[in-house]
Amino acid sequence: MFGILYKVIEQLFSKKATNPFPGRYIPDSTIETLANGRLNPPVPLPEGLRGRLMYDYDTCIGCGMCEKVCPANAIELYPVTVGEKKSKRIVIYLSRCTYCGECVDICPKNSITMERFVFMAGYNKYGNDLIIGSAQRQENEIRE
Amino acid sequence: MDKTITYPLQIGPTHPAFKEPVRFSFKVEGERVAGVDIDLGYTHRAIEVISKERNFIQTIYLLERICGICSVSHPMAYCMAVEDASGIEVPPRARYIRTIIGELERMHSHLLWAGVAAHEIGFDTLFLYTWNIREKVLDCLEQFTGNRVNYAMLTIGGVRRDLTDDLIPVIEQTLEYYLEVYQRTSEILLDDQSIRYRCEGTGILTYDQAVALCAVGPTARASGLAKDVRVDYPMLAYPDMDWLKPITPLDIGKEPAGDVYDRMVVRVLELKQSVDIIRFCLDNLPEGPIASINGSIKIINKLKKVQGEGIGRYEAPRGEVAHYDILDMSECPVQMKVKAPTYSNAFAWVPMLQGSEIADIPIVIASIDPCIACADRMTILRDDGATETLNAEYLHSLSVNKMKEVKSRCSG
Repeated sequence: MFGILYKVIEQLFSKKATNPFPGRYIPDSTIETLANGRLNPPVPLPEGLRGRLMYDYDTCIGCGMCEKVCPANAIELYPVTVGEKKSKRIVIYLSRCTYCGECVDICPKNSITMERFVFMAGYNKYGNDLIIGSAQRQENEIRE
Repeated sequence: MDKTITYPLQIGPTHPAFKEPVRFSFKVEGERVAGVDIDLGYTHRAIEVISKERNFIQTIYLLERICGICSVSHPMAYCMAVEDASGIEVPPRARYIRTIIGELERMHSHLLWAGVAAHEIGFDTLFLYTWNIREKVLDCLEQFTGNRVNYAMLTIGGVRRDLTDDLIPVIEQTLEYYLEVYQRTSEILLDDQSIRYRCEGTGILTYDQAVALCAVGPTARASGLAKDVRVDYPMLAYPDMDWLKPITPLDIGKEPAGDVYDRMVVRVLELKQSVDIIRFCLDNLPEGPIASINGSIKIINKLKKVQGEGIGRYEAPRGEVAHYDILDMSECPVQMKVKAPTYSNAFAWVPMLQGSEIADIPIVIASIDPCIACADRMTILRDDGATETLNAEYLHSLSVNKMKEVKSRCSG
């Protein structure tokens, strides 16, 4: 009984971990408030974070191994022509991705990497900002 | 008027007292529970069927999502089952790293349970306190594996990421923190008067009932049944620890009564045991490779040529989890069977709830640390809302037919 009471009193007087949320609490200058230590800075990202995927269209050889191991079937192959030869390239649907990092490990050319970036909210699950490689796809895909 | 009248009481499928959908039909006499019926099947996700369409690597990540709390126990048992079937060896370093992740997970799961139990008895201050100290081990897991849950650490034949030298001090600090707070936490959880009033003598599962109903994990150990897969079955780094033994309330000199309080005692003592196991693993961490086969495609190609069956057993925080896999010259498991700990423990609810008070129902149900989504194996959907009773003969014939089907699909 008194063990937890002691803890409650301790917590009552300790520094708050959260920042006040509604709009009216927003200070005029965030930087100034941060510098004075009145706002809690964001939690630092961990060392081994697996964040947003990055895809290098030019180094990809279209082997399709990433598509094979992807547990969420978030990777799609589409046909392209490189020079004279036919090849394949990928798009990654971030809304399906589970961030396990299998594709990063398997890629023989290190074309897929993971960025230290975690803010990926969007209004459309299949919008272009949540499909990695969609711009290159529109440019290069062979449509029959 | 000496005739007692029983009233039906339905709780669930969705109810604030439960964390997951499950339905209980009680017969109550006044404040006492006279009859219990459990109705599962509201959160069935057909994971065993989905896994048949995915290759061995994809299945690991699917199985990680069977349970959000024991997200390393299911892939661990699965990997052991596939390794058992195919004869793939796990290097010693990988065994130790697997043990460390498993024990860190056990710590966070037990702290989570302590918070949930406190919440169920209306002690929300303690709930917030235990979840606050649980953050530390989640932060440690995040540093170590990159995620708070669903660590994506295991692969068939080893682990995916190494325990680097700069991570060892992080884990050491976490253990140090837990040893510091252990004294106060165990005092609050075990000596607090309000907890003792609510937990002592409620939800009793006797030794004989625990044996008869095949209870597993902390539920069985609280009834004095010294059974722990980590001790009974050689796996991971546990055979190297001669001092390891199942924890029962006898360790603090208490005769096991099998009530909710004893389950609390077992889980609190296991926190300390997990710290000791991780300390041992860090001190004796062997050098060497972390996986016997490098590259997921190589693993799939090797398993494509394997025919056989394997069993993997692991002590999840809630009890024994067992996976059975059949491999048959294919990229996907031909058949798999998951036995989650709640599957064994759910039957123990009946003697526990029999004769208890209505106010004790939430804490007794939470006391086995149920994970309904793990345990759901079947759901029956009918438009007309009629109930259907499946008897033992029908289920047996279903099982025989299923086995015939699997055998016909296996070559040879």
